[in-house]
Amino acid sequence: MTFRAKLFFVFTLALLVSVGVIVAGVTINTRRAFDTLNAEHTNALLAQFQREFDRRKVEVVNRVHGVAEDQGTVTMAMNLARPGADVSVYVNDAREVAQAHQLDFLDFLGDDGSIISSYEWPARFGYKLAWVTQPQDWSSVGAFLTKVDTQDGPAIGLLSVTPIRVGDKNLYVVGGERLDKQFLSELVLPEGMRALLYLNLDSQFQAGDLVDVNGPVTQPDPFTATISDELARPTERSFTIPYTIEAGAAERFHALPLQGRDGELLGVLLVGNSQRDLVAIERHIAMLGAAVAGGGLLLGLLLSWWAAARVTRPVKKLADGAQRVSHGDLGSRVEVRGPAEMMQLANSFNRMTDQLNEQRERLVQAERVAAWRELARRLAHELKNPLFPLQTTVQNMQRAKEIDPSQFEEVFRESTGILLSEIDNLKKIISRFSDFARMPQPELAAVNLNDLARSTTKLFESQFSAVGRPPITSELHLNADLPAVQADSTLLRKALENLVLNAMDAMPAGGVLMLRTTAQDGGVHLEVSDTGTGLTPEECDRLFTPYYTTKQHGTGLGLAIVQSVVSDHGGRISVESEHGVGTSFHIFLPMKPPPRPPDHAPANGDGA
Amino acid sequence: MRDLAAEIAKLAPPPARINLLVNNISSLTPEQVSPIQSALRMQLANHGVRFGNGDAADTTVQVTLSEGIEGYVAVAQVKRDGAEQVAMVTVPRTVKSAPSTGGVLLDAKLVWQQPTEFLDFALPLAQPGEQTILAVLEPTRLVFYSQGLASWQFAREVDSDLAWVTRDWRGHIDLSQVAEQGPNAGDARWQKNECKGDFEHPNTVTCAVNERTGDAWIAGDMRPPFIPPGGGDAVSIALQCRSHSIALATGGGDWTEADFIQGYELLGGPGQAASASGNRINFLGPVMAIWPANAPGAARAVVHNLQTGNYEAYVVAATCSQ
Amino acid sequence: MSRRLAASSAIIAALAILAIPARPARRPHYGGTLRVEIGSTVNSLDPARAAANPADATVEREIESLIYEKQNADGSLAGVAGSGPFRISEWEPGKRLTLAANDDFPGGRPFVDSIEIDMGRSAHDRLVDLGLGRTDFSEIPAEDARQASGLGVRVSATQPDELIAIAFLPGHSAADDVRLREAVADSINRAAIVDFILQKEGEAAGGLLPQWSSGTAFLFPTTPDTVHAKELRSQIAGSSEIRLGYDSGDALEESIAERIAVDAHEAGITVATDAIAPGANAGRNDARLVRARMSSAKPGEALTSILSALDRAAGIDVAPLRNLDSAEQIYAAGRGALDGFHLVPVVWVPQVYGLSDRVRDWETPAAGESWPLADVWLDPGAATKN
Repeated sequence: MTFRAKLFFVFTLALLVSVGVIVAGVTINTRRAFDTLNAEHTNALLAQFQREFDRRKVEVVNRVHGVAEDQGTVTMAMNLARPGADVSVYVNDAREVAQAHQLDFLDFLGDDGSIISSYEWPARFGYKLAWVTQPQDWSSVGAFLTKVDTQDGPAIGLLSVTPIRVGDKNLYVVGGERLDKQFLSELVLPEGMRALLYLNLDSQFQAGDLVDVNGPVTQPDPFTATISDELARPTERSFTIPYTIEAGAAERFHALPLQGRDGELLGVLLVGNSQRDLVAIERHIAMLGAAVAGGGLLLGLLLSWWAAARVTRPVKKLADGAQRVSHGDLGSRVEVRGPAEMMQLANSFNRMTDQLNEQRERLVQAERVAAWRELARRLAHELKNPLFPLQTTVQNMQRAKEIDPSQFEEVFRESTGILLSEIDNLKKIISRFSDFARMPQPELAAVNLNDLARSTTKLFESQFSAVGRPPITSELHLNADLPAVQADSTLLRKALENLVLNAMDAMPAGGVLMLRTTAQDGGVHLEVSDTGTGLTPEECDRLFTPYYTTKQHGTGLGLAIVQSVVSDHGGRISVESEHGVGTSFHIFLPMKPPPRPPDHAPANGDGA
Repeated sequence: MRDLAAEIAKLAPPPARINLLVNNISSLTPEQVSPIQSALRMQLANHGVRFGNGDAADTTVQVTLSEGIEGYVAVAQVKRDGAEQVAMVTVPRTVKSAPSTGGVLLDAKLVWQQPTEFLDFALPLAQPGEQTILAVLEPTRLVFYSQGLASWQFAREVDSDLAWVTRDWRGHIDLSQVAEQGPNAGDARWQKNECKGDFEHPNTVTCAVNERTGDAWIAGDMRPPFIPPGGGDAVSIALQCRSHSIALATGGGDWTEADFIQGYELLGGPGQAASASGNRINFLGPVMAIWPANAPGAARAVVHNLQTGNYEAYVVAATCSQ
Repeated sequence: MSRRLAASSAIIAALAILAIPARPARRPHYGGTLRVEIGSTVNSLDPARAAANPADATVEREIESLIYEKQNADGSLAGVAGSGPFRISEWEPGKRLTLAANDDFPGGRPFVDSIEIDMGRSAHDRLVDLGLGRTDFSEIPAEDARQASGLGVRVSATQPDELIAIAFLPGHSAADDVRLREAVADSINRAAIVDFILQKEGEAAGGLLPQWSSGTAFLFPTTPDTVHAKELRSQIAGSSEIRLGYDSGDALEESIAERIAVDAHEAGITVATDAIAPGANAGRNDARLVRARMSSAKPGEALTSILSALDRAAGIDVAPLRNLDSAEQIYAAGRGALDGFHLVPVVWVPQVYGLSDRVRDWETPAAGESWPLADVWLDPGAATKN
């Protein structure tokens, strides 16, 4: 992930978290506020219901008293108090009286509780309502809820009883109002609230008995479980009905049980608060939050883009510069505009590269000097060897001339032979130095290392089994599918020959020389292993240093030449060795050498 | 009761021991029921039925004296071993008589009834060895019946032409005007028709049209002996009671109301005051006509029975109870 | 001569002059228009219908008996229209019918000159008009008789001659169980129906003949036996709901049906009442209330006509009754007809008429008889209202 992307992510995350926290906080507080408001509304509505209920009770009591005080009722009571009174005359009286006094229920009952006339069930004359005649001070009871049997089925009513006593007989006037949707329509409901009434007319929940102001509720099923619970355990409770998966369709209800005179559950008042407003506000908050978050995202995007631009561009420039430096371009500079820190960083980078450049220059210079010194030393060392015998030989010749002129001829002949040999040696040394100094640039062509390995091995076959030396066995483990690489076959051959010579030098007692080729990602791998004396770690470190040698003889340039060739091909060379076991040289060559960097070779390198 | 007792005995033969219960739901008075109950017991005993009360009885016989349109019905419900069998007999109804209170005691006897209207009837005094004749004056004819073994048998009818049709039929058989021509000589008049002859011998009766206008049947002194309360009709009967002449009078209702005949003692004096005397005989409909009967101390009355719709002929006999 | 003497002498003199002795009853007056109100609407008069159903006592029948010469023994009509005591002088079908006295009627001209019949008047309106003296004659629902009397209306009631009974309809599984039918019959409180609904104008019906006719009606129990009804109900598995139909235009039937439902409910039987439109099929009902009027006061004839009418109303074919000569035979036949409780008598209802004070010589018709409007007369001296 780029820095810009990270920066964008961080900005956005910070913004989203902030918005989320704010939205959640507002939502929670809003919900709490709604709950509080709903509770207040519910309580107000319940209080209103209770007031209306109480008012209705008083009204019912007054109306029934009105019936009892009606002249017709008094006359009826007086007539019925006479012995042998005929109650049948009054069988139809309740209807007219009930309508005149606006009562939904009205019964005239005789002294024994027998129905004389009934408005709500006219055919029920003669049957007894025993509960009316139970010892009771009806004037103190007032109005009460009770189940009423009517011609059309049971109903719930608010009833009052007024006895009229004439002599030792009572005429009971039982009247009241129906508790139904009409009652609900008297309540003033705030927006979003509604009232339902469940009339407990059956032992089990009956959907048709759940009514609102319009009559039976259209969706009664969601109430089944709660009302069934209420019927089993009457208590005030709150519950929510979701209706659908949409949260806004939910409704929160408060249930109030309505009980009769003996504590029996006759109905349940349900006050409902629609969650629609709350959900709407929550959605609004969420949408607002989303809008803010979206805007914030956009802002964040812009900010991050701008910030990144201000931050990452200089960093990228710095990174590019470092990249170039890593590739050797120590002259790379970074021009940055941005925050002071970035500019300071860029300046530091530039100073660093300048310093690196200077150091490299000095290093190169030092290396050059060192290399010259080393070359000089080596040259001196190499030259000193043959020069010493030259000097000795000339001195012998002088001595011989001086001491024994007769032997001078023989001494002259031997000495000139020695002198020519040493001069030849000198010439070889100089030639080798000259070769190293004049290491040519590779001329690339498709080269198959397997062929190279075979040809090189064949070249040294006679030396592997030379008379007078322990045999050396060669093993070739060549990858048949080895691809060809772009390389200079001459240089590679020379390098390989040097490695083979070094391997032979490392196995004075004979051994195994193994050559292996394998294909690798982007190139080929050549391994040259021997089972010779091996090298110590210190020797491995200095192995590729020019003129470093572990041999008693040799210029020490062989591995340097190998390294130079490998390096010129863009490859790598490494060594593994264990003293007393053997040594393996690993060369990796790319399929194609990379473009050659600017030549920093010593200007006078080939003039040795 | 004899027939009923026989039925009961069949249903609960000896050695059944019965618990006899009698219940009256008819219009019979307790005084009338009591002798019926006694008679039933006696008849049952004659059939060998044994009586018992409570647990001593294995059969309960509930006798109910009931009444329907065609008369009294005596129903016996014989309950034995959880099963019930019913027997019943029907007894024709007789005219009810209100309880007597002394004075003029009246007794009405139903002589004839028919579903169609008749205006008057007469029972000529039968001579020894001769059949009793009943003359019935209908709107369109005069019919004679002779007494058969069990009922009246048609003897002769004399048709007449209707001078006019009316809903207010009037007619009269008068056997008191020409007594010198025989004890049963008389005439029958209605509309313009007049029939004369010996009504005991129907063949001697001849009819002709009387051209006099008006109602031909009106003749003689038709004045009532007094004006009864309520505006009914009254006739004198040849009877003295407690030194007073006796008249019989009807009630004052219209043709839709039940009527009665009450005896009155004429107190004499201006205005012919009269005092109700004795029992009253109640009928099941209006008295359409009342005339003195041939026999002394009796009157004849035509009653329209509103329950059955029949027109009935009664002879109301009066006696004096001091 | 004292005033009293003068008065009595004057009376006697007047009678002598008139030579018309006082009749046992007051003498009819000719003239006037008899105002009649009926509840139904008559759109056509069809003697063929009368011939087909001679026992049907309908308003049409009553009117037809006024304009046709006579009624045959089988109840069918003889003669042509207008050959009776009255003839039609004006007729707005369904609204008003005016009959004029037929001077040439062989049985004698009616006392009134005409009869005006207003149709389609509700029971309430008829009662009000009777109370206000706006009409002379009208039928009154039996259950309103007491109220009418209380309003000062002159009321004439026949003996209870119309039976209201439950007929269980064949082919309905809900009523196939005889125990259920018997339980319904046992549960009915007939006395309460007579006292409260009929306001004591009627008689509890246990059998197919009223007590006043047969004298043996008391042998058919009328008191409810709710204990036995519950016992029978407990023997019946499953639902015991019965659908009881009644004529939707008959308030009395409706009240009786509702009461039967209440009584049955006490015995654990559910009776659902159902109003049936006039003339409609009671197809979905298990039973229905039916009315049947006696065609005669005589028990034998009455039983035959009652059974025939009940069975026709219930769609049942019944073999004609025979051997109805004695009270015992009549009782046995009636008892047999009620076996199985396919018919459950409920109450006997009288025909009740309201009359104005000026109507004279009104004879309450016996069972099977028509309104004797040809025999009544209007008293010009009667106190009139309005």
